[in-house]
Amino acid sequence: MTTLTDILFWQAGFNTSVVLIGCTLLGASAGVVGCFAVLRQRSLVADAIGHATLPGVMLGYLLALVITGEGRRLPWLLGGAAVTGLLGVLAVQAIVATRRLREDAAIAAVLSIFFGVGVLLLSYIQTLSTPDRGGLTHFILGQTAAMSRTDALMIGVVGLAAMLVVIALAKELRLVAFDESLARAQGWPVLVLDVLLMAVITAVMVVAIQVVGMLLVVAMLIIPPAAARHWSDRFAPVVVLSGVLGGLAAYAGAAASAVGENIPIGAAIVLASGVAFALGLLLSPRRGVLLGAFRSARLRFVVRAQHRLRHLHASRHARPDGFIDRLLLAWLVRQGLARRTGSRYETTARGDEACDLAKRAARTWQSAVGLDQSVRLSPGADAVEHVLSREMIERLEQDLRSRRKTP
Amino acid sequence: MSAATFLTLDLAPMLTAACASASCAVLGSWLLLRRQSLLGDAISHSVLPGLVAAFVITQSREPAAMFLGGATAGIVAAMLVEVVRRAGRTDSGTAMGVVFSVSFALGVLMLKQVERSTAVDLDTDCVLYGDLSRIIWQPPAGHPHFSAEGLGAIPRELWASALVLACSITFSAAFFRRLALISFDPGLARSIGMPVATASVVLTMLVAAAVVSSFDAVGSIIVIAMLVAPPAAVRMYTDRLRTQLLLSGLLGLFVALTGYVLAGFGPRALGFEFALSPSGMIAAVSGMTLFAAILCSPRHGIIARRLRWLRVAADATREDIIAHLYRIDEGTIRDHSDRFIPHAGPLVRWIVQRRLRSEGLLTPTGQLSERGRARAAEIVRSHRLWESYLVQRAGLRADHVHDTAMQLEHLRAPGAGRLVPDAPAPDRDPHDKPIPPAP
Repeated sequence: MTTLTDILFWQAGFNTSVVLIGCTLLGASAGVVGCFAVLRQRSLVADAIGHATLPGVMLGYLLALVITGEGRRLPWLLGGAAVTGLLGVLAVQAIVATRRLREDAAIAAVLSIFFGVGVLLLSYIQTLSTPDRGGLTHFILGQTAAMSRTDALMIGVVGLAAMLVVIALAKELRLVAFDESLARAQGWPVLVLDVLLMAVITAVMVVAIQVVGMLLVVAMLIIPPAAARHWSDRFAPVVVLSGVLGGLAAYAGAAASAVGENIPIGAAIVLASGVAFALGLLLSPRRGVLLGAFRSARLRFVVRAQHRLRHLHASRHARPDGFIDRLLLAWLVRQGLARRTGSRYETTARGDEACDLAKRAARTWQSAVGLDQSVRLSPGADAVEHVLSREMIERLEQDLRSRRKTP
Repeated sequence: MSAATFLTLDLAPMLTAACASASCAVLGSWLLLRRQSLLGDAISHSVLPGLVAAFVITQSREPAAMFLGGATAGIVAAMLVEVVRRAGRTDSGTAMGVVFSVSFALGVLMLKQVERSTAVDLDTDCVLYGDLSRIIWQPPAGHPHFSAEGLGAIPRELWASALVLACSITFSAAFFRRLALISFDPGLARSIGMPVATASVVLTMLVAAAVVSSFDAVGSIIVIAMLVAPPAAVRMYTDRLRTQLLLSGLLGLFVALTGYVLAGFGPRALGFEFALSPSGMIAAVSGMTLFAAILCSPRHGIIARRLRWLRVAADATREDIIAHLYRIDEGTIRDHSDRFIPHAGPLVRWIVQRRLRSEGLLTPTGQLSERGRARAAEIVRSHRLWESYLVQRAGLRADHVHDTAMQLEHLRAPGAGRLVPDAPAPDRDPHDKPIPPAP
């Protein structure tokens, strides 16, 4: 009985290990290539390529059947997939060239129509009595059972090659993606680079469809870059991280599929990268949801504490009123703005000074926005006084004084 | 095949597919005009986990439960897209791609678990190709189809998709003006107090309902073709919103009926013993209609555009040829090569020369006739006036203006003849060649 730990630590036999390595390489490669695809805004075109490979697989099968007498020959199937995948790209471009339909409609139309034609051909193949027609549907949703060693090797090798090509041309591709007109002006062959990128994307997708299936393959290209973007805004770190995350997700998905019952490898890989994306969304130190929630909660707390301080200042002594009030007062004490005598609280000298400053801030701010003091500001405008620094208040006051002098 | 077999086995699936396709086409038109075609794509992927969950809970394919599950999943996914877009500060395309592929993956995973664990009829095949053959109209024994009992046995899937069609049509017709404004100018609509957000939520829910009702007919993927292809094909023909909606709905009906009939009866009509996938055929037929529309549309089609371009090229070539002959007669050029005649390939040039002869602008020996010379003088005058203009007014160098003037000389204003620069006409151009007088 193989367990998850056996698989994760390469103890589950040579075959499984080769499959894991192949998938990991493919995932890493898709992550790296995907960065360029997303940056060049080709990710949705890639979705169209993925779906458009179906008729190619079926035509490849039929052709191989007619010519060699045996349909399920991988080079024929993948060759057909590449051909119709690229035909899909051309179809999208032809539709957009009419200038009547936008690219999103063209992509949606091409991917679904090509896929439908593939389904039509598949339904014809199902009526033939060839023995080897069963595995064809694996190309749509990926394989549930473990793939063969040679398949895995080929996948890994193609993935690695694609990654190397993209890394070798990283500088040029990046320039074209970020500033196409500059690249053109500097004399880079933009069209050649675009075609090359499209070819690399197609190559990765065509080998990936046997693993994850053509419906989900685009996720391997777009989710790792999106997940990596949570952690950095710089290009090189995003590419590296995207490759790492893509590799890890593929590894985890392949391992889960090898150990579990009926876990399709493609869905597992996509869900694993979805988890990576969600973690980034929650935990990222710069734009993460949790950190953002924490920051805004802290700000709200400080604002309330400042209100409490002013209240305390006005009423001199006060008893705490409830749990939150106790927290607010405790915080004020820790900041040295209030002190506790017996069960009552009062402001310290520093607290009084802070209150004066806050009053000045409110007054200055109201004058600065040109409002009469009797006008009640909206709560949002009121909140501004809590974030004004002492320097800012002094500058505003000076500004206002000089303005009064010169009518 | 008897009429009763047809009624039992084929009529209900055919009508279900037709209703689903028509409602998708009507709603798809709105999506297309609102530039939201990918929303249909996203919804069709993201309803899957809801469908599977509804199926697992009720252990049936009861349309009401499927609608509830699908709509819930669709709304959850739409909200997640919003969350990811706002919180993660990603663009909406990426947010959509991440959310819908992950939820589709989740649906596939759930489906694979269900497929083996229960003896049921929901599997990945019907996600991919639809499952029309399951919908049969089987009246109770001894009752004909068109009796009270027979009509009572009409499958619920057909009612469901007919209901969705009715809702889509009612929605589009009742709120036509408001929807048009909201779709074309959301900013203005919002500023005069129209419920822009509500409209988009209702549209999204209707699309989700249409996608779920199409699930039986064509599955999760080909439904995108139903949402996009008929509206896109009609878009090639018309600029009018009413026409767009009406024709899309009709084309949707046509595509589904034709696809079903071709798949079911086409091979048999040709003498084969098999039937093809109706969903695949529906997609193929809608692909063909879209292809035909893109090729043949009288104003925006590829052929029409190509012909218009050829006509312009032929007109320009005509003028280039006689102007070239004029310059040779004038002695300003000696070269007889074709590089002085841009704009057209050899075929167009040959046709144009024949026409010039038959119109009497060229003599049979290929020389300019009297009328031809007058016409050519007009063109050369325009060319040299433009050159002067470009040098004197636009400040270009004299050796840089020829190619531009080569194009400007052909300009005509509708009803006002040839356009020449509005500047005092000199006698000679910047290359010191004489400018022919105005006719």
